Amino acid sequence: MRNFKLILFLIFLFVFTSVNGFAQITEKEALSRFVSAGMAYKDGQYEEAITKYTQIIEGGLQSGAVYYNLGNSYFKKGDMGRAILNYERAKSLIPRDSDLNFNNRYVSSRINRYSAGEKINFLDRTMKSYIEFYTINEMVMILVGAIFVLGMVFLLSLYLNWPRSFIQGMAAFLSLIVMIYAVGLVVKIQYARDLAVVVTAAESYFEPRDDSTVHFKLSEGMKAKIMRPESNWIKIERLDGKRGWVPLGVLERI
Amino acid sequence: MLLLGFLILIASHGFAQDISVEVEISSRKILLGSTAQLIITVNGSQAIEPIQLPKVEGFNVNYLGPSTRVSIINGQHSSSKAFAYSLFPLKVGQFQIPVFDVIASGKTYRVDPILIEVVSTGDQSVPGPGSQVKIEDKIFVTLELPKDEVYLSERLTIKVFLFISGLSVNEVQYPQFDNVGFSIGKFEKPKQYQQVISGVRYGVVEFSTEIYPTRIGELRLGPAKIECNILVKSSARQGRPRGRNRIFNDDFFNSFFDRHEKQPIALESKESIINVLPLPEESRPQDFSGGVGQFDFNVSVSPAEVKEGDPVTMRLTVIGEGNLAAIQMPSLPSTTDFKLYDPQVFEKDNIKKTEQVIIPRLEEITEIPQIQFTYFDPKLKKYQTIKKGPFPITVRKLEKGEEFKVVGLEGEIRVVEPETLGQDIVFIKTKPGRLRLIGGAIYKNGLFYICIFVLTLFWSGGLIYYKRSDRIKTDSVYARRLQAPRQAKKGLAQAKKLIAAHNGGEFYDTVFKTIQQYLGNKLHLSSGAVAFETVQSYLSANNIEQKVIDNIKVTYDECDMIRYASADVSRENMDASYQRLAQIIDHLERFLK
Repeated sequence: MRNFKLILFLIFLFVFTSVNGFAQITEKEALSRFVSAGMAYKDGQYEEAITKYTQIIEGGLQSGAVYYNLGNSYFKKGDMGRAILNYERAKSLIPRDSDLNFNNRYVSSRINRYSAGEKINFLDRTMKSYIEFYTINEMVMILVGAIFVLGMVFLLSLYLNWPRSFIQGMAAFLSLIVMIYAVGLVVKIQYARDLAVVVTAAESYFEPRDDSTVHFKLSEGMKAKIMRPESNWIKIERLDGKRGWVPLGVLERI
Repeated sequence: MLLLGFLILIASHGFAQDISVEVEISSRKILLGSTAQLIITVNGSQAIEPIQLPKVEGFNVNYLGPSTRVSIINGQHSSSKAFAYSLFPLKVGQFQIPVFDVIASGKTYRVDPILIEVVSTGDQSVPGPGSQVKIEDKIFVTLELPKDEVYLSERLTIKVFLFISGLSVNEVQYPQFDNVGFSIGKFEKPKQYQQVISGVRYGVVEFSTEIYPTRIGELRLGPAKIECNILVKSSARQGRPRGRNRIFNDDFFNSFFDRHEKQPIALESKESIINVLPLPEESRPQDFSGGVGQFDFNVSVSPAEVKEGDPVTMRLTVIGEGNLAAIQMPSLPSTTDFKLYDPQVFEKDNIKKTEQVIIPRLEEITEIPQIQFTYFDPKLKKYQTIKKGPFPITVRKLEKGEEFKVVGLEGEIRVVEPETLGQDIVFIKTKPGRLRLIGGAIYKNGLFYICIFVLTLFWSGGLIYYKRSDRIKTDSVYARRLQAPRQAKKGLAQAKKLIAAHNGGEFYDTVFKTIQQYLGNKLHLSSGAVAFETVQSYLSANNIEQKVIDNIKVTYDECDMIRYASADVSRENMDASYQRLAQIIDHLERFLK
């Protein structure tokens, strides 16, 4: 009995410590700020709208709509880099939203780019479309659900003596789903990790020094991978494979 | 009067003792127009090579088929195989089936010639060589042409007659020609009537069709070929011998003989010569239509008054006897005054006509020009031209309001102004959606892992339970070991109750049963085998303390003494025995694996 209580205590401890902190604002407050930010946007007060939306995020809460509206507000203000940054953040929460995808494409089309961007083949393009279709949470749930169903099928087949061919067919199908979503999840996490958006047009240098030679240019809204920081500099890799150093603040992580 | 059939038996015995060949004919004297049957029977062998019957002059021979008969009488096995042929006489006279061989079981049997006499209807005597009657006198085909000189492409009606006398005929086919140089039309439905020729009454089938010569020169037409079946009644039954087992009394052969037979026959007419003349070249008009025959030509135009742009239908008709199919119908020459549509052509019986839609393009048009049709008349032996028209026509100018309109757009005309489409982003969202903690990905949440842990636990429990149930079903040692402590617990409880009741006899019975059952289950021994000596050796081998083994011995001895000596037992003794038993079970549960 004593051991059981100890185990129960440890479980609760694990649950509560694993929750990622608490929001600094309540949902009601966040909703109030969301409404007032929307009114400011309608009145053309984009700076104020940005402030209100940012307060929700700084308060520890987020949603696809908040990032989307914030992206719109930045676009109206003329800050293309941050507009795209917030659209990309919104995409991780509402990836199939048609308004979001339209705005993201439209804003991206208005940016001057210095490179053709990612060089991807058909397979990469297919994989990218696939992983961008789901949020990470959705993929995790589908994966876990498929594993659970696979386990249940195995268990029920023992108890109910299902035909061997049926069990094999089900197992093959569910295993395929598990495999597809497991690979997709790993690729998505890897892809999203260290991905950042250029919020201010800048130049990238060969070395982390102001007097270094300029290697290439970065335009607002361009995506790049953060490789490693060093004092006030960050080593980055543009999606076309070029690497260089930029000052801190040029990019923000998605 | 039908001659009586006559059966002959020609037996040719071979060298082998059991094999014989018999040849029988249904009648040696047969009527022209009837058939006789020839049966070749081989007794005592089934290994017979195909029989090659020689050509029989004056007969059409048809093979009817084989039959096999096997019989066992008084244990004697015999078999025979018969081959039946139908002989259809083609003329009157005396004929013979030449000598032929039958090969059975590798040996040859020779069949001697067989004489057959064919007589005409009503004539029992054999006619002399000069007055021979043939089947061709009873059924024949003739070809009739109206003339033997025609022009190229001139239509010629020919007739084919089938004459039949004293025979029943069915399934008559249409006449066939193999000739080249003629285009031959389809035969009409044949006429049937009777006709007397040289005192003989014939049934006549008359076929007629039209032919068109397609090349010049002397061409052969015919022979016209007609195929049909003659129905002949076998003469086998009449005159059939009633003696001992004659083969024609057999039911099998009755099926051959007791019915009408269809005797196919192919008939041919004589051929005819036709002289085909070319059409005269020197006087041939340029607009010659290709028509050869006698024709009339008509043209009609309607309506005679139209509005500008309205259609006028022009109908041209050629009527007459001749090669209508080859005629090129006249048409209006291509002109800027009219818009011409392709004519539609119709042809039926002796009429060929066209309907053509034309649209006058100008208001000034007052007539449709003259049209002429030229053909060659073989009777007059010259070209003929029939002219029709011109046809007056009035073209009225369209008045205001009668112009062409597109239906559905009356009243208003929609004008689409060019517009420039603006571009901007989609407006903000008015609902925040589900607000959640930043960084709150599900895989970072402890509850998610708890859920997974619970699910895994649940799944593992299910699996363990299944495995355990499965083992209990299949592993009796395991099942008994599992059962041992449970049963011991029950026994101890029962013993405790008996102590309280101060029932010494039943108490020791229960103690004995409990330890006996426990050790039997634990050591997988049958109840009869659970003796102390057996248990002792098992326990010693499993390193059980001697003290526990001694306690078991004490318990056994106590039980035996009380159960069989009926000694009085105090409560203290029962308590001590109970405690000993409980300690034994507790110890063995912990240390006996």
